[in-house]
Amino acid sequence: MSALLFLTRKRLKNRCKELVHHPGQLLLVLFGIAIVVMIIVVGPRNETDPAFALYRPRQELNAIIFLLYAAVFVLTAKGGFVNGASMFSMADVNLLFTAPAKSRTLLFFGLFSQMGRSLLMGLMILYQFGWAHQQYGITVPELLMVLLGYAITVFLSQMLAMLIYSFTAADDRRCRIVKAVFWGVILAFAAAAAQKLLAGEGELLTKAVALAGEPWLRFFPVAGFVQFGVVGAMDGAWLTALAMAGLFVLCIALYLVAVSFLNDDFYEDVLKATEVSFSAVTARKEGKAQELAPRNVKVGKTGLRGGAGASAFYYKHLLENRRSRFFAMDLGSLIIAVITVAYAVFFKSYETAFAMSAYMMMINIGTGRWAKELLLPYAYLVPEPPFKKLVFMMLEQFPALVVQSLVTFIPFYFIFDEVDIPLAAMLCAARICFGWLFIGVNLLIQRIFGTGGNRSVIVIVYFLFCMLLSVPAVVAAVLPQALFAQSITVSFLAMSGVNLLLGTGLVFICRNVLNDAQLNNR
Amino acid sequence: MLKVDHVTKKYGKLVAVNDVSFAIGGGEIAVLLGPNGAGKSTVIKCITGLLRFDGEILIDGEKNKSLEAKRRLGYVPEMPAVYDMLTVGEHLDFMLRAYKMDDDGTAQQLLQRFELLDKKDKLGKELSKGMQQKLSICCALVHRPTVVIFDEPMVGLDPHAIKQLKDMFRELKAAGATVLISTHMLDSVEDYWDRAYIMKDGAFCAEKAADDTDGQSLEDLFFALTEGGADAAEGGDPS
Repeated sequence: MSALLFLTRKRLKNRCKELVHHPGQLLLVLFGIAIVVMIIVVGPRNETDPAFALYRPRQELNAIIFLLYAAVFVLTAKGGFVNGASMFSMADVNLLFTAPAKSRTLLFFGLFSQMGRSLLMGLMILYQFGWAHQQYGITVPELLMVLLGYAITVFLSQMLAMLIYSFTAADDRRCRIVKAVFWGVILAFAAAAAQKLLAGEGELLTKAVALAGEPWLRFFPVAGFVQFGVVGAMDGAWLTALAMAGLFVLCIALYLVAVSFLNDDFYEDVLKATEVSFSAVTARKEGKAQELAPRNVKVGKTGLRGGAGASAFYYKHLLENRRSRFFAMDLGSLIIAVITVAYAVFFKSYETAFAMSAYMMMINIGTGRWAKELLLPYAYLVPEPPFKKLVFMMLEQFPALVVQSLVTFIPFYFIFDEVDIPLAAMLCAARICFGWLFIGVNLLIQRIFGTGGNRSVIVIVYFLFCMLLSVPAVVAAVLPQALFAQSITVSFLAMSGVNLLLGTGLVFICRNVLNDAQLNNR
Repeated sequence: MLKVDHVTKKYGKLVAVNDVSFAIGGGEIAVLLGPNGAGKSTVIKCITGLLRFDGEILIDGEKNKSLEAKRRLGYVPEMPAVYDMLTVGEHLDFMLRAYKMDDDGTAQQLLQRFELLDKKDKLGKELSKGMQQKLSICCALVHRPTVVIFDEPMVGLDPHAIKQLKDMFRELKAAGATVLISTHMLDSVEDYWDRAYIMKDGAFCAEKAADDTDGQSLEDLFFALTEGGADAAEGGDPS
């Protein structure tokens, strides 16, 4: 035990030392803290201003918290059907598992380390203080409770993922049964929610918000009771919060019983997940591409359907996307589409919903397959002009952009009376062009940093570039209305045009990214 | 024909390769030797056009970054370059399409020689590291290059594949191709090298022709030059 305490102490100490030795990282941490402090200090609105006297109903916030926890639970726990979740590093596996230590002690060590990591993962929630306070009057202690609830949800979901993996990994039949039960439970809740939403009179949004307060939703795995506990604590219902905390402790105890007593030898169960996360980290360090592939890839029909020269990359990407089960809409894009539509219904404004969609796309646009290509030598070796190769490598992202835009904005035509077909088409076009702009920014970031560099710095610079380069499009959208009193359709057209030009300009500037690998593998 | 002329590669203040020059003719096998960090892989990456450098590199008389030079070049990287989501057969299909080449049966032959034919429909991610290396070799050779660069090609290969690869070196040589091999496995290249370039600290410390070794094995030569001090390099021709 003393060795584990020593290890924990040393790890923390070395992490702090690392910050001192890497001023860039230290600055980032300080910058992050400064932003949080600024949001908390500046964020609160002027309470004396009568225009801001009324907050939105707290039930809406409770519904948002439930949705966040539920999404985290489903996305994390389903990982158990692929490779589980690991609370250990590869060094832990190689050094601690082979050491003469009790496996249960090591399990506790892993659990406590994981709890700390889960808390760190939720720090992004602190940045939401500004709007959450503006809209719902949330206070700092309340936001910290939401953060704690998030950490607990992540933690319990990861434990469940590990349990699922350990129970199903070696037996396909078991895996099918557990999968059916898992998705069956989720679908049962979804069906019950849909039935409640569709039945009776009243506004959909009001019913959706009321739904989050339904007692039966507390039985939704993990997210249900954690949200109930957090909301209880926020409302001052400490007995409820305490009861839910007790349930949390009970979950850990049950988990320990399940893993430690039923299967004392849990090493094998965490090994796969540890290896997978280790190989992902190693690959990132070595600048190798990592494929987000399902566990069982269906090979299907073999062979490229076409391509000669640079276009062979495009056909290869189509094939790889099919095997990765990526068909224009991935889960992230679907969630964004749903959130955008919900946002539109919620705030009754298609303009702000569009802005929200563009903002979320900034996070979700990803780099597509071209970024992975830069990590293998073929992108440079194939005897074709670099710009031509780059264009064909980026081509696979366009069908996805188009489909995602259609799925997001066609509903607007039915939701808003003022959205006619030309405006809906322009909304789609504007979103596609924003996508093109963000792809261009991704390319620019690749051109500047390559695959090396501090990830946090890269992310910050990426967001800064995205926001700065979005300004001309926003100006272009405002000008026709301000100067010529043109319709909003013209504004979105102007926005699309500017983004198309900017995105193309960025790709042109970076056209020689495939000249040599040095830019990308520093 | 491969000509490397006064090539220098710097990373900031660090000189990774310092004014290296050499030439390998058609039908010749050259080996690039040196301790870890000597600069072998950097030279190779300069030749393959993956890195920027000062100096000039010609592949069959064409500048190494020209499309014509790329067409003639085959490169087996140190780490297997394999796509997770393509089958073994599709890798070769992709290479032939990307190089705009017709399949004259080379792909099938390569797969057969490296015992990958029965794994033709296996995905890249399902292959062991050794098999990925074999596939990487097949990808580098399927477009029938005239200058082939191997960076540590034997790592992870089984004895059958090593034998096949050695045979392949000889066949490439007989067909008039230029072959450059960087390796730490000195005994694996002992019986077919024509020229040996030994690197240390980013520069050549010796260049030897196979018929000019005074009976010394490659291994003896290597240790004498890299660990034995200046007098041991007698007979060497540092460039």
